Amino acid sequence: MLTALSSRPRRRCYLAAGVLFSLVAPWSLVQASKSVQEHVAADPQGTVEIVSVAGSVEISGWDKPEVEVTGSVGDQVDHVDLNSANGRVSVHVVPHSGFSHDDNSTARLLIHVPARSAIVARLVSADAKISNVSGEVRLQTVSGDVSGDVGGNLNVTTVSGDVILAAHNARAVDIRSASGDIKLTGAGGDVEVASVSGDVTLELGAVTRGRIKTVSGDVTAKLMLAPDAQLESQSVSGDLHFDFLSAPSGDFDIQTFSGDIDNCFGPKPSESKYGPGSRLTFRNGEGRAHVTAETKSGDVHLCVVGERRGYVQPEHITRMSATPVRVVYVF
Amino acid sequence: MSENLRPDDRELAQLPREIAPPRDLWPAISRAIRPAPRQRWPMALAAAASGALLAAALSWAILHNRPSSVPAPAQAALAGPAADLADPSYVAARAELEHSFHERLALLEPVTRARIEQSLLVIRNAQDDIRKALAADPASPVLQELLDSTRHDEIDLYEGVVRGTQPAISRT
Amino acid sequence: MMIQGLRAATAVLELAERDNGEPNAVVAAAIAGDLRAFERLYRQFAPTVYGLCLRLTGERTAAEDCTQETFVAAWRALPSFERRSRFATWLHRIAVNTVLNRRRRPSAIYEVATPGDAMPDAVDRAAGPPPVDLERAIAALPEGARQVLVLVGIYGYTHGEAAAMLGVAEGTCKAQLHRARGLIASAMGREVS
Repeated sequence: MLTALSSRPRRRCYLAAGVLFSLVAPWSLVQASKSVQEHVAADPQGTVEIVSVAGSVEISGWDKPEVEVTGSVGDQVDHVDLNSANGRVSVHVVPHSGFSHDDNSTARLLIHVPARSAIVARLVSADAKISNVSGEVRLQTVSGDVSGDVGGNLNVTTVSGDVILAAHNARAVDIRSASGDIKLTGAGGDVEVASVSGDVTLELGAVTRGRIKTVSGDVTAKLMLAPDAQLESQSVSGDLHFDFLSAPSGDFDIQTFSGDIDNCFGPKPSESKYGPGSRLTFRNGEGRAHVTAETKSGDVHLCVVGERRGYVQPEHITRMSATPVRVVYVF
Repeated sequence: MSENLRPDDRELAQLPREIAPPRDLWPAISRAIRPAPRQRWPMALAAAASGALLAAALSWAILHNRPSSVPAPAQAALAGPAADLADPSYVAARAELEHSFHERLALLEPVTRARIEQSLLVIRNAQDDIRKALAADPASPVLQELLDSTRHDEIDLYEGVVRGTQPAISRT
Repeated sequence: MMIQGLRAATAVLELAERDNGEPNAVVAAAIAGDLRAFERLYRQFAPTVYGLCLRLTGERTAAEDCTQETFVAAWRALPSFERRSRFATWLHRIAVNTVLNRRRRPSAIYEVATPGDAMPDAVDRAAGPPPVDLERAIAALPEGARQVLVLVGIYGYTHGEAAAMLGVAEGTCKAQLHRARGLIASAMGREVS
């Protein structure tokens, strides 16, 4: 026969129920995501292809001939497919049909890869972080941010994610973003960077071929030019700032429709009497480098690191114009 | 190859057909071809086509009643550029790409969508700006190059979204 | 991008980056005068053109010159490219013409493998096969034989196509190929079939 519980045992029951609930509740939440722990043998110099939609992917090189995938995925992720064949490992996060933005569709993965692997990653809104990988990295994302330290060549395309990368041994770099900011340090050789409205900040080594373009984002680049480098830059309204580690030796052709041109180591432009726009064309030294910049309304600033901004007339500058003082062209 | 394959034929066929040049030849090529820019589309013909495209794009936008975080006055800018678009095949192909771009845009988070639409607006505004400047100085090669460049940017944006969202809709 | 024909946009939609290797949108843009698009074509096809030029001329400096001249000629001829053939095929034809035109120019120095570089016509088989690789053997062939061997044997053109490109009769083309095979077989210490 049941007797009514006295208040003290009733409190104990409530307490026990509360404890039980607090133990169960977190577990029920954990059950909404699944953990991932997979690994497969991999070619130490093979390619690792990663496809994921949302969440984050951290790619870290190690010294094992193996790819290991750990982390967790939401319950809208069907499975993580890990395959190895012909020197190529693929890691595919496979969603259930239907795509949603919530946490149930995310995958937060840590992927260890052989350090000399080449990486090919296709992400949608997943952030990517890369470290200790010396192979080439090709990464495409829509809104994920990309960060890290890369040892090889780089090809990164994002639409709205930021790109913050160090690539000290890269000899070929191609980074494109629409609204994300781009910050790149250490690369040299063939460098191509394009942005629409994101700002671009570059600290580069010796560039042999550089193409830098923006629509409205500003570009600030500190770099050195190889002796026969070609550097082309273009902007509509964003400003272009170039700080050369040493005064480049070669030809310069700077044009702007309505922006200003400022040069701290060469001649100054003058405004045209004949129509809109101004142009600065000059040669510095005997070298074969070729530097061009075009803007519609963005300003162009050229300087040498350590030089004072302001007009300097080095002895060795040879003017292209027949007129000794003015270098001005109309277009 | 119509010849019967013999061992030495197979060896020949296996030789690499592509050999990378030992150095980048593009600088010399571009210097050789740059002085002679190609004829651009006549402005008058372009102006005639631009109205038709804008109307078509606006009709599409209205038909699909697409919500957007971009303010209403900007919708007209987003609907299509007042572009130098004389070629009907371009108009059709571009509309197709734009359609897919908008479809894929809908897959993305609202914040991302807004940023992308903002980028498109930046590009379109830049194009308008350049066109106004070109009206004052139609022979300017710099302005024309900048306009070309913004068209690249626009198509790159469409392609970036379409290609970038593919993992979201495919299953392996 | 000057977008005269964006048919390749559908290729993007189908997630094929290219349609059988043909960068339609880029070609269309280049035809419309977009230098940036043409540079992309250069980046894609330079190894193809250089490889063809190198094998046809047998000499690196000439191959570089021919590659540059091919792309310059292609840029100038783009408005007449009607896209009935693949862009790579069209570029090939320009490259072959460039090589042949260099030879015909009175002031041009057409480099051929010097006698010191060429492989011997006959090999003493008793001494064992010489360490000759196929590439060197091809480079050392007489010009006409080399050009036919490259076009037919490596690049897969038919005799009729190669003959048309080289401006010779088809029978000549077949004879040159036979001669080329024989010379290579001798150079590499093989049975001549």
